[in-house]
Amino acid sequence: MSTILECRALQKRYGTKDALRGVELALESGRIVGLLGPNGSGKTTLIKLACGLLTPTGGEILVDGRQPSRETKAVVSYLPERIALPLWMTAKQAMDYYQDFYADFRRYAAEEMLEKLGLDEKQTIRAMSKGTREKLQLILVMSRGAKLYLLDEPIGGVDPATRDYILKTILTNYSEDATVLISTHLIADVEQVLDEAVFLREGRVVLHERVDDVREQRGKSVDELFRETFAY
Amino acid sequence: MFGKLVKHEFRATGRFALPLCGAMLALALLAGTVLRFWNSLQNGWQGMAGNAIVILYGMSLFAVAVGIFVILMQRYKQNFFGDEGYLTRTLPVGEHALLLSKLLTAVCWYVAALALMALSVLLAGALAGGFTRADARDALDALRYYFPRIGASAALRALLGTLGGMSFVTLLCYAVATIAQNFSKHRFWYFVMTVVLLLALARLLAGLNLFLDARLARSVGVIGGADGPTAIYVTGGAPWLGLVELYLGNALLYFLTWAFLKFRPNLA
Repeated sequence: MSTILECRALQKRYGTKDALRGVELALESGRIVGLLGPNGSGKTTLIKLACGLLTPTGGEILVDGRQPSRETKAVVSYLPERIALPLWMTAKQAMDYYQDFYADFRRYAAEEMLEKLGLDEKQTIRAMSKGTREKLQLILVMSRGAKLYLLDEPIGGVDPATRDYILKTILTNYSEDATVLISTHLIADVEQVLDEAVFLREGRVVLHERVDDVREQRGKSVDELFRETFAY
Repeated sequence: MFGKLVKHEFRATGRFALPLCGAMLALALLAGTVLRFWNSLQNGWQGMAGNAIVILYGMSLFAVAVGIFVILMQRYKQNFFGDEGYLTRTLPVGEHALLLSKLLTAVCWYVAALALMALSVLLAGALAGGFTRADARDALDALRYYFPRIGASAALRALLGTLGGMSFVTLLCYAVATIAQNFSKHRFWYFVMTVVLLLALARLLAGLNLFLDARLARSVGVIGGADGPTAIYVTGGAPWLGLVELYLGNALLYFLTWAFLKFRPNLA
């Protein structure tokens, strides 16, 4: 097992506010990891740093042994918490876009998923409902054969049926050698798919354990441990 | 990858720019036809409609000139710093490719817009009967007469000066937008302030002739509204040194934009 994502004393400050305070973290390949924490704990910041959308204030972050760059972007598939696809594009044009830029994009997989969803490829994203837009974006992201999937709040703000669809799509489409990092605060919904859990509080990693260990050694579910850790 | 970026740039900007140019050409045809029959249209609603079409055509020329600039700037802002930025900035391409693809597309659109505006005027003129074959022959004769006197070198300088001027203005806006993005609050006002500061600096340089070549200083001053734009190259035939300075200005603005994009991505 190789380390796909590594943070060493990683810091990020926005003005006078510290978003990340010396994060130490190493994720190995082939795992589904939950990045869990309350709002404002630094989950999105950590993911954006891994994507190269932000630069660290201190420390370093390595993806596949390298600092975020053009090379690391080729092996990272990122699902932002908002719709990043241009709204004027049709689903087909969005697939063309991914195919043009990502050598690992599996178009047949995307087309198959779109067909199952009953989505018209000629429909513009603007004409789609919020849930459908999110599904389309997830389909595109999961249709890549990436080494690292960074999913920022993939199940936030969607109905339970869509949540199930999203989790099923993630589980059935990622390669077993790849790592999936799912950021969320909806622990109960993702717990059953996680191999590891990382708890973030006020920009610090307060727990990084295998989910099986949490259950066996602590005798609790991750959701229970989360509620206990972050109780006010 | 660069070719694909350019393709997607044209696809994204063409959605607005092409209909705009198409509307201008259509209005040119209509305006030319109206002007041809002007004398018989001077009564009642026909006269009013004719006036409206001619005025609309005039406005469409302005709309194309301003509209294309707005479309390109809006595209830059949305594609880098809006929600689309999360997609654009995570593509496995370098900042040079991203920036150059936008710059190349912008300059191509400006050239196309200029050419289409000139074509529309010729079309309207020809239809109205104000521009005949004899006029075209005269224009060609004039060109044949003046070109050897101006020389190929001056023509090349004029071309390079015009293209350099277009990219200078574009890069100025790119640089200012990119720098303003680094302020978490009041971005719009920082944007306005940076533009005003740069323009004031350009005017100062133009006024003081601090540049090695006064003509370039004046051409930079244009951006501050001092005098005619890159037309100085067309009419005066700027020396090569002036062009070097113009392209140095381009390089500086390009570097500034690239550095902020690469080292201060700030999609917070």
